[in-house]
Amino acid sequence: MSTDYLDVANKWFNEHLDELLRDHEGKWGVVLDQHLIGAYDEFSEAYEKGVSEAGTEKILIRQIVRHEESHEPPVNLTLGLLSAAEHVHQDH
Amino acid sequence: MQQNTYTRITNQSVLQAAGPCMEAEIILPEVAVQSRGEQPRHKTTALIDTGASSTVISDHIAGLLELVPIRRVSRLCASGLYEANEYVVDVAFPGSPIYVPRIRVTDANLKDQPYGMLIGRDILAHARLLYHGKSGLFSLDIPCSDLRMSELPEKVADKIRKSKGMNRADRRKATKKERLKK
Repeated sequence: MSTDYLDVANKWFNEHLDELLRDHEGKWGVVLDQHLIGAYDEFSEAYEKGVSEAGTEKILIRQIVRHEESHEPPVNLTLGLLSAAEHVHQDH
Repeated sequence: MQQNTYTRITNQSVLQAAGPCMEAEIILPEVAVQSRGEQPRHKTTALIDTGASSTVISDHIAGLLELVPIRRVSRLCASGLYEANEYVVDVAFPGSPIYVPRIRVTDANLKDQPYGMLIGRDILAHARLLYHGKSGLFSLDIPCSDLRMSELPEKVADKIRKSKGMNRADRRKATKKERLKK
């Protein structure tokens, strides 16, 4: 599935970050194309309202903060330990 | 307190080798179904992974369910920085009443893995996990109070209310109330 819409929405989000921070800091923003269609306190609310409002259109949901928290990858996956588990499993 | 419990009993060596694996069902949330009719769902084997801060699903399953990402996240791993898509899904565990609504998951290439899903600490944050290696048993409990009833599909919420001893009339009232909230 093409995720070009995320590139477009992220670019718009980054370009308008100062403005978004001024009005909605800390909230979850819902971006459709190059427009903010809503800002909500809770992620679940942003998802519910965003999906309902956008219909079949694709949206970006991102927290309006200066620096997003880093995403920690699963330790076992990055160290390749899950494959090890598989081989052990097959041996039994 | 009402519990949603999944228990699996194998034996010591199987649990040690395979880890705490359970059957899971990844489901597109009701609100996102649009005109697709029934909620698309896919059964897979999930591993409880306390080394994962958040839940991960296979990118292959994301493709099968035609999930639409709502965000892209960057991850740093040994081979460098890579990007993962983030989706919102419901997760059920067949054979138990556990139903976790609207959880954010990222995708990863799990092609050569025996699992299609890694259950991370975001789900475990609401749970009590018992791992008894010696007897080859593990169980996962998620108290009903930790589930957001308004986000559960009506049938699932009704089943939980029924298990709490609510009569039919009260359950109907509660369902009506949730519909109005939505």
